Amino acid sequence: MNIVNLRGITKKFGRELALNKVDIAVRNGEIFTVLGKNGAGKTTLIKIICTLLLPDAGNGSVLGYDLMRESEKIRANVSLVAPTVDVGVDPTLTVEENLLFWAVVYGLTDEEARKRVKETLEILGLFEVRNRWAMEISAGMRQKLGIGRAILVRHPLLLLDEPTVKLDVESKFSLRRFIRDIRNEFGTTILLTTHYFDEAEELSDRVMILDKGKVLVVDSIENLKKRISATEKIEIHAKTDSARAKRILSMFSRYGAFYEDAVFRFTVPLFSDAMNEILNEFVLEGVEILEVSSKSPSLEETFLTITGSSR
Amino acid sequence: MKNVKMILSFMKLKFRASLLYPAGFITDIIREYVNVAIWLFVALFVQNASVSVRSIINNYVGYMLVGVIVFQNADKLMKAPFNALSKAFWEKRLEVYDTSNFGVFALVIGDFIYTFIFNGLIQISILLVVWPLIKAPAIGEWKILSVLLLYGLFIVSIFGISLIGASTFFFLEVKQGREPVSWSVSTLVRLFSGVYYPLALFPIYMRWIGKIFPHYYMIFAMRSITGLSCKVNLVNVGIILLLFAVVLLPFGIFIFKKAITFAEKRSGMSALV
Repeated sequence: MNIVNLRGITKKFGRELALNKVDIAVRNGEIFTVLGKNGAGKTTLIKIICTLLLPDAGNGSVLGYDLMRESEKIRANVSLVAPTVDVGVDPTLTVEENLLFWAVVYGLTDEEARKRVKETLEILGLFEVRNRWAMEISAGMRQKLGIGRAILVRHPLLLLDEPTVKLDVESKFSLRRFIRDIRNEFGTTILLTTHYFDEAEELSDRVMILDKGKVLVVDSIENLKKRISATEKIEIHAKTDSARAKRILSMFSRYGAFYEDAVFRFTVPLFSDAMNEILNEFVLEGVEILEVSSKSPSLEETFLTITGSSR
Repeated sequence: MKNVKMILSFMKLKFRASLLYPAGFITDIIREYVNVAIWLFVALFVQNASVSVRSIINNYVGYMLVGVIVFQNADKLMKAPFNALSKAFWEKRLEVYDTSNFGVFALVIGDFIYTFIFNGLIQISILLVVWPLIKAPAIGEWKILSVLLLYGLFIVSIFGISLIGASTFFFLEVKQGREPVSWSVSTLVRLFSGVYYPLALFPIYMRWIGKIFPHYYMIFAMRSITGLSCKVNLVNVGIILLLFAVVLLPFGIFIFKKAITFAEKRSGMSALV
């Protein structure tokens, strides 16, 4: 079952088209990542999903509720963590008071609120700093506090808009582990936006690549990589003279042949026919092959290839 | 019940913030005292100097005190929802409040009630301090129930106006400073509703202006109840204030809801899109 099912979502800000007929389907219990550069429309999309913004065109449902007509029900079942540290964190309250305040705003009973706040502080590793002012703790901790607000209520859909932006490396890793734990422990469906490729690769079941408001591709990380296996590169370390090297380069220019410091590079998949053809030619030319290695594309390279920015 | 608790939480939030920075809290109290004192100072001299004022009003200082206290309280309240929105917006909390269905409403209602209580206590303290000094009729002779009832209706009307003013935060993108609705109302009330001087001193053709605001009737009724001006029919004043309340409150809520929808259609409740 799809938790989020939107079709043809279009949003303009003035003349600027932020989203252009975006379709999105997020399955129950998955971590779905919207990957895109700054200004790709990720935040706009996430705000539309939680009904903080209304689309100019398009329709669909979130958690089975109609996006345009049942925004109150959607809001009552969706949690949002905004991209900037401090969003929703009140500096005039302590860490614990912040969560208690939000527990009331989200309609928890006193008993539930106390229990959930204690649990959340422990899960987030904030219990030790619960009595400190929110403005006194580190940015990473404040971001966790923002996430704590969102998970207090155990909504079935958690929207994380660039949750690790501006965090230090240690906080990033701990937060990513925490995001996985939330999904595993509570079965929460998580829709994440990010422009960090490693983050998408580490966390996501599926990835949507958004560029200039348009969906370029939606697939699993593995499938995405397979899709562009043609961009897989092999490197052949070989001993040869420059005349032979030139001949080989001109013969395989169609495979992006490149030679430098006794290393040939070809953009062909490992163990493919093209690779066999190249190796055969090396043998015929009498070139001594020292080593053959391959390099799989990272998600970043995949992304750049798909968005057409690879140079 | 959940919504009431939410409103109380927002009130507590504001109270906590004021305790965290007590200097601002104390300055607010001093400012209120000084504002009233300035007008009483003016009144004291005008009373002695102006024959025309003396011919209309027995105790001009008391007359001024009632006008200024009612006006200042209303003025603070009219600004409260807009200021609450503006603060939450710039402190990056407004959008998150909007993730709760009643969040933004709870914020403005909580702020309005807190301001009403906090400011009301200051104004009452001013009244208790100054009243015995100005040889005004004894407070014990007031019809307290009438005051509470009329003031309640007046405050409901003010809340309606304040919501209309707060709507400009979204409609006109006025993000800080003073919004134009409450500013216009305040300016016109100051000039034409008899806050500082009797309307009898005005040309007849200008006297109607003040009457289109609930302030005029509240100030008029308060002066009557406190024995500082001629007796008026409080039932009639009550009916007029009730009409204001019945029209302004639903209209204010309607406009404010439209403003939130308007914001959600455009860039939302934050600058981040």
